Amino acid sequence: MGFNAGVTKAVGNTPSHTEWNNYYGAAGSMEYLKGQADLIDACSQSANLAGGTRALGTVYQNTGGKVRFVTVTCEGTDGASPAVSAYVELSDDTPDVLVAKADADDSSNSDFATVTFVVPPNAYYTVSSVASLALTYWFEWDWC
Amino acid sequence: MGYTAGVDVASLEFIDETEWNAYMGASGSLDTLKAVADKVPGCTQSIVTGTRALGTDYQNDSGHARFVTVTVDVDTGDSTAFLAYVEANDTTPDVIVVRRDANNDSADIEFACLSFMVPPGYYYKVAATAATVTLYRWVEWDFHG
Repeated sequence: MGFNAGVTKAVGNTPSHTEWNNYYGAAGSMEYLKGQADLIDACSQSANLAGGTRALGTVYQNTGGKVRFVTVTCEGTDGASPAVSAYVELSDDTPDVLVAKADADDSSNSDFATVTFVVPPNAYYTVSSVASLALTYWFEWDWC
Repeated sequence: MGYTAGVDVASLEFIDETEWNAYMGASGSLDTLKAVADKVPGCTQSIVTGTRALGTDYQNDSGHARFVTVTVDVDTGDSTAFLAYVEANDTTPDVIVVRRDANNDSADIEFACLSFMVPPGYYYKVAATAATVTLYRWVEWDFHG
């Protein structure tokens, strides 16, 4: 239900029960607003999804209805110089809009590469890498 | 005004103007909640690489919080410090909020990225110390009610 701005009534201008229920009934606009207000401070953090439900090169969709922050950390291995790239796209289940890209260099003590990005509700996202890159950390925070 | 859970009324049950106005009056709890609900953000994604430059000051004039991710490309044989600045009330922000070094000389770090938040009205800048560093990708997500 959308929002109807408050309207002050005068003495004797009695509302009908239909009018009341539209605003304040169990499924009225007040309940809708309460649901929205409850979202403001809600923020959940995932466990480390690396090696679990997330993998490099796989496309995911943010179906949680909230804004999602994602931080992915990868580690170079075997002396390679890998790259990690993140892609986010709103209406494409094979997202190719690059939003972040970072390198690591296992041969020079710069082992870890991290990308941090936002996934709007319902958007698709994927993180890819070249070979010789191990997925170490994948965390997601869903907010509002 | 605080929040009270909704309660249905039956047909022909009388509601007086005091009860109505407490909830649905022009300054009642309905409008109080509306002001809160307006803060719940949606989110837009913008690729702004073509309209942003390293070393240039910008202001978040969207009226909403902004999340920024910037990726740079470091030339082979070069290295750089890569920094983001965010500051309120200063058109030339010099408060460093995040920094990383990218070495594409003795190490093979060609691409590096930074992410940070910009509150509404704040000024921000992304800069690299090496002249040969080029802006590769600049993405902004605005959270809006």
